[in-house]
Amino acid sequence: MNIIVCMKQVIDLEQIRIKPNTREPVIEGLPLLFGDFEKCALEEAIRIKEVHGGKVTALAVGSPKLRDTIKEALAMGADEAIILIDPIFQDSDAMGSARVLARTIEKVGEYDLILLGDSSADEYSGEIPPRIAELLNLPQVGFVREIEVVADNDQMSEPKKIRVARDMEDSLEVIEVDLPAVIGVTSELNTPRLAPLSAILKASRKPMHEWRSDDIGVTAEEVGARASVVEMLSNLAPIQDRKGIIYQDVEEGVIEVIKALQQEGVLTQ
Amino acid sequence: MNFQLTEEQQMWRKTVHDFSEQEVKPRAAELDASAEFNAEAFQRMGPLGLLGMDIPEEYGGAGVDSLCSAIALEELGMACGGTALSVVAHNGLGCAPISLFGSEKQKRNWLPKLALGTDGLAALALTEPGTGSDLVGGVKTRAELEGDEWVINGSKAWITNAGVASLIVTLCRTDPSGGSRSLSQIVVPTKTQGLHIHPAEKKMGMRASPTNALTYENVRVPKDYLLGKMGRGLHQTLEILDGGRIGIGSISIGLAQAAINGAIGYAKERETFGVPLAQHQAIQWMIADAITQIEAARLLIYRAAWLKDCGNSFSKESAMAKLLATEMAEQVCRNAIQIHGAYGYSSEYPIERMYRDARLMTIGEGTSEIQRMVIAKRVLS
Repeated sequence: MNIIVCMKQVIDLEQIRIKPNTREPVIEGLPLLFGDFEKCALEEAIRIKEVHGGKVTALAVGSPKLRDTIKEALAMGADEAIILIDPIFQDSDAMGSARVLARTIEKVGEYDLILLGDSSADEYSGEIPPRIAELLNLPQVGFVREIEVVADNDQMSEPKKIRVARDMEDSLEVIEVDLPAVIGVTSELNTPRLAPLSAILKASRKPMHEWRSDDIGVTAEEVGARASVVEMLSNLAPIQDRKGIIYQDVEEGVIEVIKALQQEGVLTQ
Repeated sequence: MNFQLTEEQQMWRKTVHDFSEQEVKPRAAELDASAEFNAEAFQRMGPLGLLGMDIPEEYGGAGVDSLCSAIALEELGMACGGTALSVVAHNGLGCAPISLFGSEKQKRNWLPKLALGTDGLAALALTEPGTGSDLVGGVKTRAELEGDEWVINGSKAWITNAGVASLIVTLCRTDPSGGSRSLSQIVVPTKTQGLHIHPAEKKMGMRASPTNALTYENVRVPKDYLLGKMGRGLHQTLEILDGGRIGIGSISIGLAQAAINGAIGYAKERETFGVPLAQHQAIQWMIADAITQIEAARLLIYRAAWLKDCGNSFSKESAMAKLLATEMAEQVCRNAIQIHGAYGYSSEYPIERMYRDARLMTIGEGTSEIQRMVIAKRVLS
């Protein structure tokens, strides 16, 4: 089974600082890495490949730093990588990014399954999986936390279906999907492996293709800042309003804190 | 000159960091208190490559350069000194002599299992109850050839990993007339009859790493368990120890970094005289000195590793790196406790454990005094 995993390079969220006076996040100069959702998608692709064979291709759009970041995907077990680096891709909105990914997938051509994080760790818009599916005219399921390949009666032929469990918060919905399909996964799906040292050292020997806008036939009218219809108005940290209640008496304090926790629903009566 | 780690080295650091955060650090305090070995973490280390750092790829190892080993040991040292010590002793002392001096058959026989750690770790037995660094004159454990077997008698002391090892590379006197060509390294599987591994020593620090005394009582191993050349045991051992110093220095950097990271966090939070500790100049200076010393030691360690990887002589450089890094770690941990005040002295905080762990580093694999002897000898010769 040939699986394409779309991976987004995000800033290391743990290292973001908030300027106390302006509430602006300081993101300049922070390291870029793949988010947890992307790694779960890649981990699942590798596990499926380990059982059913085929090929795993990691796909990512981003800055030149991607040439380094993508090695982590190759070290984890992707067979090859395609990275898309072009100034015209910069400042794309979700539609622009989905268009770049969909065109690339079309160019790759041979695929049975497209896996990606249901949302990205930084913007968390959750728009990319359905948009790609729409552009490629494929079925799509989001919030997926379990994937099972449905074995064909004829063991020799390629699997044609997968069964997925979609997280509906208070229930799980199990769906059978015809392949090829687009699946957006959550971090409950698995625990991504740590790449062994030998694989890290071999990662740069695996095939890595770098494509530009010309290679996939997109123009600045379709993607990037000019095509973007979404404008970010603010990304300030929320105002923290601490009540600043101090109990001098311990006995009274414990009772009051328990009462407050019960009111907030943290503790049951 | 380029001081930038490669992308692969950075990725490896992050991998070991994540592994240490998940598997090693959370149990460090508990295993220090109970003096237990973290067997679960070691099971997971094999597939990651942490147990095959000194083993070539064709024998199942990761076959990495010394710099990658140094990075890994630094990260493990930040999480748990004892666990890092067992890793360095396994790789640098136990596996390295087999990789470097073993025959093809010996390498095929032992290295793949050691790289995975499935049957246990490797250890190197040099020290004896009455002998430390004076190996030429002091080693009393003797091996005599009887037919196709070595018969080994004697005792060893302070052997890291012996209690969790599948084999122990043992330095034996094979020529009773003495001299620098009278010692040989012989591999002794721990299941061999007559090898008694005594209960783990009770130690001040590095308590998650078992250290044992050994008694060899008519221990018989096949003749072809001799490692390298007959009579070259001392030279082989000294070569191994040159590399081992880089490992001990790397763990020391990890310990110091963890201690000062803890102190920096504490100094920002804890207030005295109405301001955070970090705003007092006395504390700032301790932190500035510590960071400077850690960086200096790290550069010496990385340079020694780089020289080793280039195939250059690195004996003096690894001794200098070990000397500076281990003495530095003790000082930095001491000051990290000072910054924590009374809390630093309490086992509620990890700093006192790091201080106890760091104390061994100036003793094990050659004391600071021996390092100075090595350096002086090279400079004055």
